[in-house]
Amino acid sequence: MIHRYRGLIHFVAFALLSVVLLPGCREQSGEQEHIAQKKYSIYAMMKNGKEYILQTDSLASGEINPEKSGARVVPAPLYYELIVRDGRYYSIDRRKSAFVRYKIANGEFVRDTAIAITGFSSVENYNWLSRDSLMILGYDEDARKVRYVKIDVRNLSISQGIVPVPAPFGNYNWLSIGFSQFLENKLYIGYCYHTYTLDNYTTGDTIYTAILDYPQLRPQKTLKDTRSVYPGGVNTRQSHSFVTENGDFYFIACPGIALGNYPEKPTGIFRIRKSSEEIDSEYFFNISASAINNHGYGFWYIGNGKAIVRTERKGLYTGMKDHYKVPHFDFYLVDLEKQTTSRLPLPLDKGTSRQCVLVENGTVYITVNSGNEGCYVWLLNPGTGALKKGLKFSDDTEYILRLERLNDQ
Amino acid sequence: MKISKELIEKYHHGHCTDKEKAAVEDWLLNDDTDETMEWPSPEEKTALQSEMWNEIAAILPASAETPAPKAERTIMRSLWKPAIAACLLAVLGSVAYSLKQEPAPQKVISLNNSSGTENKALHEKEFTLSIAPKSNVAINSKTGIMDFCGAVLINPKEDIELTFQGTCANPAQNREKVSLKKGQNYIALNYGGNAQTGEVIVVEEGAMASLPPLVLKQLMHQFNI
Repeated sequence: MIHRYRGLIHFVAFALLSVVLLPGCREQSGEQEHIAQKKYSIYAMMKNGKEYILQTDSLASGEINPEKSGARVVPAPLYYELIVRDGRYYSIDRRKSAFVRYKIANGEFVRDTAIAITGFSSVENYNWLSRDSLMILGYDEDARKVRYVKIDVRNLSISQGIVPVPAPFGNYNWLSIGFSQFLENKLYIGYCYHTYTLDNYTTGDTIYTAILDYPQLRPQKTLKDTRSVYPGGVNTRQSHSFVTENGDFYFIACPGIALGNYPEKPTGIFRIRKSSEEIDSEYFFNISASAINNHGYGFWYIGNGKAIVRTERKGLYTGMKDHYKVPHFDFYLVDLEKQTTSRLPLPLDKGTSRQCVLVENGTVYITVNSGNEGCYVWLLNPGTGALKKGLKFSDDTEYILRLERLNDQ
Repeated sequence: MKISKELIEKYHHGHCTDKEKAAVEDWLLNDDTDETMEWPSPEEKTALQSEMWNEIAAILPASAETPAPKAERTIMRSLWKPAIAACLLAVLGSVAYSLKQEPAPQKVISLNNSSGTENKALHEKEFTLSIAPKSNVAINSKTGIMDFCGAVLINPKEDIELTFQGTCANPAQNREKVSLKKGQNYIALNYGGNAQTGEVIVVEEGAMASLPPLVLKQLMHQFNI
C-alpha cells in the first residue's frame, strides 16, 4: 500500500518541502530571527496521539496545556531523535541521509532546512565540540561503517569521515554505540555488537571501549569488559553517562529487555578514572543486585557524587509489548562511591526511555507521567531530599517525552 | 403451519398429510422456522427437538451417508410401516445433521515470504499486510487468528480485532488479542532473545519509537516508514 503510493507521497513531500524551504531561503537573506527565547523546551504527547513542542521560562509552578500553547510536531515522531541547543532543534533524516534543522512557524514545528550527509541512518551518539560545532556518530543502513559528521550549526557546513570501530564480525551483524566522551583530548567510544533477525535480537557478551586520539581519530587502545552488556545507549533518547566534578567518567550498561535484551546480565555502573585510560576493574555498581533488584536504563548526574537511575519494575509490565505504556518506572538516587540507593517517593512513571531529568542551579527537575496522578515536572532539592510538584500538564497529556534547556540566560 | 405436539405425534405415527409432513421436517431442519407454536418453556422445545434428533441419529450408522444394508434390514423388521417415513426422513436428516455439525468452511490464507530482502503484500477485504522477508503468515478468517513468525505490517481497512499468535516459539504462550483501528499502521513482531521464549509485540506505528533502537531502525527500514 505504501509502495503503491510512493510516487504520490514523494510528490507531496516534494511539494511540502518546496513550500517550506523556499520561503526559508528568502528569510536567510534577512536577519536570522529566533521565534522565542524561552529557557526550556518540552516535548509532549497527548492522549489523542498528537505531539507538541512547548517552550517555557518556568518549570517550578503553574499549569500548561500543550495543545493550546505548544507547536504541533508535523514530521513523524521525533521525540527520541532531537538535539536541542540555543533555541534550535536538529535531527538526522534517515530516509534522505540528511542533517535537518527545524523551526516553529505558524504554531507548527516543521522542517526549516536540511543538508545531505553521507551514510547516516540515525544518530547513535552526539557531542557538542563547541557552542556551534556538533559532532554526530552513526552508521549507514547496514552498519558496516561507523561514521562521524561535524556540523557548524551557524551555516550548516559539514566535514565527515569514518570512525575506526571494527565492523560486526562472526555471528554479529549489527552494532550499537552507547557512549562517546572526550576525556583529555581523546575520544572514548563505547560500543557493542548484536545478532539481529526479525524475530530475535540480542547483544554480544563484551562491552568495548575504543580510545581514539583526536582529531586524527586513530585507535590508541580498545578496552573490553564482560561484567555486563550494552554500554549506555543513544544519547538523544536519554542520558547514560557523564563526567563528575573530579574528571571521573561513569556509564551505565543496560542489558534489560528494552536495550540489550540480555536480561540474564546485571544492569551496572562502570567507571573510568580520570587519566587512567582503563575501565576501573575494582569498581562495578551492580544495580540489579542492589535493593533496586531490577534493570535500569537512564542515568543522570546531579552533582556531588550522586546520580539518578531510572529503573523498571518487573511484575508491573509483561514484556516489550506494554513496557512503554504501563507506569512502572522508579527513580532512584544513588551514591556512586558508597554504592547506596534510595528510592525517590515519586509516582510510578511510564515511557520506556525519556529525556526526563534536568539539573540546574542546585535543583533537579524530573518529569513524571503517572498513571492517574497526572503529568508533572517535579523539583528535587538534592541537598535536603525535598520533593515537590512544579509545572502541571493538562489532563489530556499522555507523556512528557523530553525536557531540556533551550536557551541560556 | 403451527407445529404442535399433536402434529409431531401424528407425524411419528405416519398420519400426516404431505403438507403437514413437510412442515414438521422444515421445523426440524430449520432453526428459523415460524415460532408459532407455544411451548411451555424453551427448554421443552429444545428437549423435544434434540430427542427427535437423537432418535434419528440412533438409527443412523455413525457417519455413513447411506445406512448399511444389514442395519437397514434389522430396522425394517423391528419397526412398523410408518417407520419407513422416518427412515426417509433419517436419510434426509443425516445430510442435514452432518451439515449442521460441520463448521462453515474455514478460509485460511497463508503466505510465506522466502525472499531475503523484499516485503510481500497481501490485500484482503478487511486489511492489507506487508510481510517482511523470511516471515510467514497464516490468517484464519473465521477465528480471526493470525499465526505469524517474523514481522508484519498491518493496515486495517476497517476496525477489526485480531489475535496474533507468534509461531516462532511457544505459540500457545505467545498470543495477543488486539483491536486495530481503521487506517492506522500496526507492526506485529516476534521479540526473542538469548534464553527467552520470545513474545509477540503489536504496536501502533506511533508507538514504535519505544522499541529498542536497533529493532526500531530495522523495522522502519524494512517497512519504509
